[in-house]
Amino acid sequence: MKHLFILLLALLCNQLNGQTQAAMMAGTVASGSTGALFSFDPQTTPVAVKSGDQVQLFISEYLLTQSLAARLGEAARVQKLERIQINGVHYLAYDWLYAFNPQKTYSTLVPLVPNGNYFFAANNGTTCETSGCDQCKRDDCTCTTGIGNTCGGGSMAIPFPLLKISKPAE
Amino acid sequence: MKTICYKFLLLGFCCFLGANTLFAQKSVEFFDPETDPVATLVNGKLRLIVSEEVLVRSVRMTLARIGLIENIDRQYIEGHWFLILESRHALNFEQAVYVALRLKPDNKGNYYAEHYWDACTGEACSGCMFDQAAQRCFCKFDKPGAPGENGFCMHTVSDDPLLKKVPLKPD
Repeated sequence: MKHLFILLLALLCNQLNGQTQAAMMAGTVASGSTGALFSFDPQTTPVAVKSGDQVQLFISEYLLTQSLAARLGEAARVQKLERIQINGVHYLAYDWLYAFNPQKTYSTLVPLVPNGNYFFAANNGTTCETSGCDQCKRDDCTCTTGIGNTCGGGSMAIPFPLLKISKPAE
Repeated sequence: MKTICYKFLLLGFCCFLGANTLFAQKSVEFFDPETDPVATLVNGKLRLIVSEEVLVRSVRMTLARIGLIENIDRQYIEGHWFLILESRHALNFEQAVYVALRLKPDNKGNYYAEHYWDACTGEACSGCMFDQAAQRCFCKFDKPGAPGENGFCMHTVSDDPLLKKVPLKPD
């Protein structure tokens, strides 16, 4: 009887330990206040969540822009991030440029893959050069206005567009 | 001897359980608008460091009827950054609600939510909104009207905190 009692206690402890680990994970999933670690892993953390009919970003704009900038290199400057929907598919749409050549602007689309109520960043993105085009259709890199019919030479695949970010807030 | 041993084991488990529970409580993290910035400057651009999902929950704690928040943006107006929330009233989907929350900078480029905010809404207008300077609240589909008439939009100013402390992770 006593052994059984101890065994039950041990199982309870194990269960609580599991809950503690889950709570710690929840903290790192965070959008990131200064008190929390600035951490985002696109492989394991959802980017957006469905709330009613709305899709809301689950990760802060700061982390999402830093995550792409980490992939593109130190000279990349993300100008704008928005969530767009094309033919029912949600995307993160980034406008960015390189600091050493600000005349050339680029746009990167990262598809969001649904999983239940959550959306994860896909492992493949596409990039267009948008300079010289007022309205670039970013899904197929065609220019609806301006000279020429492509936005600077068509689309370019960018595998794993978002990188894991794990550094403390400055 | 055996009984004492069991008692010690039991005591040990109880301490372990207590410590575990305390640790679990501490590890739940919050967004607290009184101490945490909402946005920060990165290469001259203002970036939200709190996610949309957290901001929406934080606003809903104060304005339960704000309904569906369709867009969160920011505008630089007359020397101040504002967080602009666009939503549809919870009880009347036709009714637009615009809220402009002023942000207060610190010397590190972090921006905190001020208590001061403006709201623009009207029951008889489906498109109440602020002008570019966020000073005039008007109905974009109708001519200006008196209270109760079409085209009437109400400008409300408050210095009650708009954002409330919420857990970073939804329930």
